[in-house]
Amino acid sequence: MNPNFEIKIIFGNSFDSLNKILNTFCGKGFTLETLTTHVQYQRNRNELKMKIKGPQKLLIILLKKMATFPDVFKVSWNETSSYLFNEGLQRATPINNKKKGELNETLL
Amino acid sequence: MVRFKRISGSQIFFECLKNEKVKTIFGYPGGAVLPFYDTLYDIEDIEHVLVRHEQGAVHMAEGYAKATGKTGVVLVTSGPGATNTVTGITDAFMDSIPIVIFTGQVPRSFLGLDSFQEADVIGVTRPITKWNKLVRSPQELLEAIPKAFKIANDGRPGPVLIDIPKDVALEEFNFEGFSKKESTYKSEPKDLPNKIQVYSKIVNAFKNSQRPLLYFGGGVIQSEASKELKEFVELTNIPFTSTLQGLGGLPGDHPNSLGMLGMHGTYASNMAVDHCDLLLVLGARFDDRVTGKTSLFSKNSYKVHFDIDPSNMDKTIQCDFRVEGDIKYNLKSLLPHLRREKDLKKTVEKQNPWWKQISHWKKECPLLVNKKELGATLILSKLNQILKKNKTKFSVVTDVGQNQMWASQYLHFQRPKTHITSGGLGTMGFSVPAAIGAAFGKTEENLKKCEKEEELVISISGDGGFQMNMQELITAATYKISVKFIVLNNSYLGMVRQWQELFHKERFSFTSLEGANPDFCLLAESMGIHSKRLDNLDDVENAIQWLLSPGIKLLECVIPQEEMVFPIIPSNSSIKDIITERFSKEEK
Repeated sequence: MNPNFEIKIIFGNSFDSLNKILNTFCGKGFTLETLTTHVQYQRNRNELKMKIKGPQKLLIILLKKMATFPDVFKVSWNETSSYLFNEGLQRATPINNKKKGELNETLL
Repeated sequence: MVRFKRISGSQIFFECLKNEKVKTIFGYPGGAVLPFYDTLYDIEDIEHVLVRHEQGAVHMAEGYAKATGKTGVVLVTSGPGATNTVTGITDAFMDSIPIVIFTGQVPRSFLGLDSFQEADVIGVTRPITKWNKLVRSPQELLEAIPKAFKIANDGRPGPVLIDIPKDVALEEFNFEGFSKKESTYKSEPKDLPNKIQVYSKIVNAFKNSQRPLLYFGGGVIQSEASKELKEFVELTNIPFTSTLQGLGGLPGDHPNSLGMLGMHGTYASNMAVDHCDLLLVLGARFDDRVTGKTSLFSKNSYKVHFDIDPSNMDKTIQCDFRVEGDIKYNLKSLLPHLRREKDLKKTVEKQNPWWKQISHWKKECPLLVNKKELGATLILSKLNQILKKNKTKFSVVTDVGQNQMWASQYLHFQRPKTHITSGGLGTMGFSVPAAIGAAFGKTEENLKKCEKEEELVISISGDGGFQMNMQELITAATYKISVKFIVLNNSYLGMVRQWQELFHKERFSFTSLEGANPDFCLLAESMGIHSKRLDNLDDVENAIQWLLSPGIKLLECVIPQEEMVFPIIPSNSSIKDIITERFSKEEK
């Protein structure tokens, strides 16, 4: 089953950043359903919204990787931070998990 | 009063490199980088190593970076010069090696016109670099170069590429000096907000465990955490196994070492992974060569994963507890919690049956050395013995395939940054140039520390991989850079042959190089490198002693084509499918 996903990415003001983001999904079995951009969403920051179809697990891995790109400032999926799927991740810089309103929740 | 000076793009380029404390660059000149080479003509405090192929330059930069912990720097021309670097860049990307590649580009007004030696190198390298940029003005170099070095080193290291049009290198501008002299490579690690709870939970997990196991990877070496890791092992008496890239993170002959894990890992380490109840994973990414069939990988253990890259978390194996951040910093913070623990001794005693089981596995299926005929296991175990006996400081750079696996099994690496190999990408042809780069790095470090004792750099290749970058032998000879080259020659693409024998009904399709190899000794001699052929069982020790004596040497070892790497867990299988010898007992 290939579910639909809505992805929102805030990125830097260059074609290089945009290309690197789009390239991430190339050749991996995803289908583009819709794509909208909001240039200068904030100062020198652009917003890219996409609806894509494809394998969920791979999408999460790719979004996490994308969040480490130098010119990518925020990655979210269906309105929640991609780190939601890293529940229990311990990190120095907290990421607000908007859906649950929790910071760095711990397991064990 | 004039507070600036007129300076060209190529001049500012080298000023920026000096500011980043670059001492060595690996490169090859060409039309688009002529201004840089013209400036370099007058520069004395940066050594330029002239390679014979741009791929060699990138592998040398990788070897240099891995051997020293510094950033490797490459300078090549546009078009084919740039595209020749692609394999090396991908290799560095997969193995998290900090290198910065500078490529020349056609002048700005020629961009996009299919000009001579124009290639969209930014487009080509975008998915294989952490960051890349086409510089549009000489002033931009002032910002782009420090940023390149920072990104290459920060977090999970990797390659960065800067593309510089020729006219940018020639253009002059008013340079007012650097805004700050010291550039900071790495972001300062930060404390976990709930660190006391996190570390206490890890200590408790260890205390509640009866069968703990530590599994570490290259992240330990990248973050220079060997000292802290050693203390961790000594406090907890935990058995440990490492990935290919983790070798040297802790001494290979440490009593708690089980050797490497994974496809060609030891039987004991793979059995321990399968049976442990607590798996502590440090700086490793659960590569498919380690996990085999993921659904069966260590399925009954509680898994704790430490890694600097959040995208590695839960990528292939779902862990129970994950800590993102610098390994060294986290281990340093964890150690006081362990030291304070009073009943740690009781925990360690409780784990005695686990140790008995591990000893049984070690005896049940040890790594074997065939002493009856001349082969790789005998040569490499003898090399290990001699290096240990002579207390020689050494680094080994391996190629890819059987030679790589035998070296990882039979050589005991004592210190970090002494085992250099192409792990993620598996690039045949890596060893020769990477060993030369490593030797440049070690020489530079020795000069800095004023150490008299030279550290040996040994390159181990098969006959197939050696031929992929053997042109760089002349680079070693020209710079009189002392590398000991070993070519394990079985006249076959050995690892592919092994798979054809085991899994493709012995249909040896296009893997034989019999009668189609050059004379490796004559080849070396033609480049001024002393050589020897080892083809007699009785000469092993003498040949190795000869190899280790001063000078650049090449030792060709003639080994049987049937020799295989054991044990082997077939791809996408589990420990239950391990093959430990050529024939089953029934077949014998």
